Amino acid sequence: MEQTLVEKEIVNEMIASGQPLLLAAEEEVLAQLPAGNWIAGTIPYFMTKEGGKITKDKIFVSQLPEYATKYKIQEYTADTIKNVYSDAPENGFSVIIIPASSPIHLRFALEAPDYLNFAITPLIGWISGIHLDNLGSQKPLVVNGLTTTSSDSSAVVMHVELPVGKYAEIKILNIFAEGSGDTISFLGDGFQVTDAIINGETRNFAAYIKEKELDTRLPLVANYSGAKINISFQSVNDDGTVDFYAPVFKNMEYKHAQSIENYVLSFISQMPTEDLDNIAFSCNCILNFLYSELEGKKTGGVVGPITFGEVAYQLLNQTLAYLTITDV
Amino acid sequence: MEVPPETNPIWLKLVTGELEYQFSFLAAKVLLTRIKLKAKFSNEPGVIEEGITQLRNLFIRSSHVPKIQQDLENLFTGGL
Repeated sequence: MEQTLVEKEIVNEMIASGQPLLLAAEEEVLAQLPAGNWIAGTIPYFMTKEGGKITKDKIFVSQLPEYATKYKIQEYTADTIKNVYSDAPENGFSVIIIPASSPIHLRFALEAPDYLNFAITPLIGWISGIHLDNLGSQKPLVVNGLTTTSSDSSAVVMHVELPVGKYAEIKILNIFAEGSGDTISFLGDGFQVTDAIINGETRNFAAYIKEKELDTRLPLVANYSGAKINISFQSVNDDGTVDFYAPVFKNMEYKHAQSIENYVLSFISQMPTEDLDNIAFSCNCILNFLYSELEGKKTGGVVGPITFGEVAYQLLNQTLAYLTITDV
Repeated sequence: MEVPPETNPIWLKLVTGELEYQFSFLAAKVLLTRIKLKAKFSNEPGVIEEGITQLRNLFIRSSHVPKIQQDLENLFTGGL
């Protein structure tokens, strides 16, 4: 279960060996790879053992363990993504990569909790992106390695079966906790809201944020039976709307996160130290990378692509997600 | 231990929120929260029964996971 940032030539050799691979790199590099048992998403930001890195030339590789010999690569459209949990193996896990800002990204984010067999089998993954300098001029992509075709509108998934005696578990690291302030809920599901219910009173959410001078680098946090799930702010707009990087859900109660004195220290101090040898895949959020200024800084042994969103059963924000494989 | 049948009253208590329990397995936390939200606010008939089936299915599918076994023991053998 090796996860490393390597040169294209090394990835070529890995592909030639036939092993299943999860890849992340810039579009130009991925386009040069031969067909094989791999899926990929575009991104130039990475967490490596040496620290946060931005590279246009190298490829981040997550090699599946040798005993993961049964796997299936599948593409999903916005109309078929509802089957992603049901297509998963009885004992195993699935890794999904979705292009950012695509219809399938929005649809999965909003509808996944209602899909058949939601959360019954482990689904982990990430939202592919681009260099932030290229926003508006380039599209995030995913690539199906079987055909080497890329897409800005489909998701790619690798469903992996595990042998008896092994099990996969998804874990998250969220440095944010619910603050002690107002309880916030919303009138509907969506990435954009106008009004919010603040302690039972409906009012314009953008005006509330400005009045309270909320730090929008800190997410809204919902308590999922003890798991802290973030919704990150994208923008507070002059027209009174507020945009998020993941949808808020009607009737869910949110709190603005507690402020954090030192992002990097918070992050490093909470990094998992156990399980490191059992991690098969991990990814971290671009907002953590930016707000924690992680470029060049080491954050422990958890490595992987820096993403435009994380999937741990459902879409997450500002969270490190990782998958461990352990003996029963 | 084996996963108890849907008729075991603990499932109903979990889904309706009458019994608050902190699962150790992320999937159970996420799924239970979704189910409870639906059970509380949806007027659709059968929503509670459907939630019990979903939650129990997670336990059946993951019954080989040590954390799930521990949660089963805690919930259904008076360990709480």
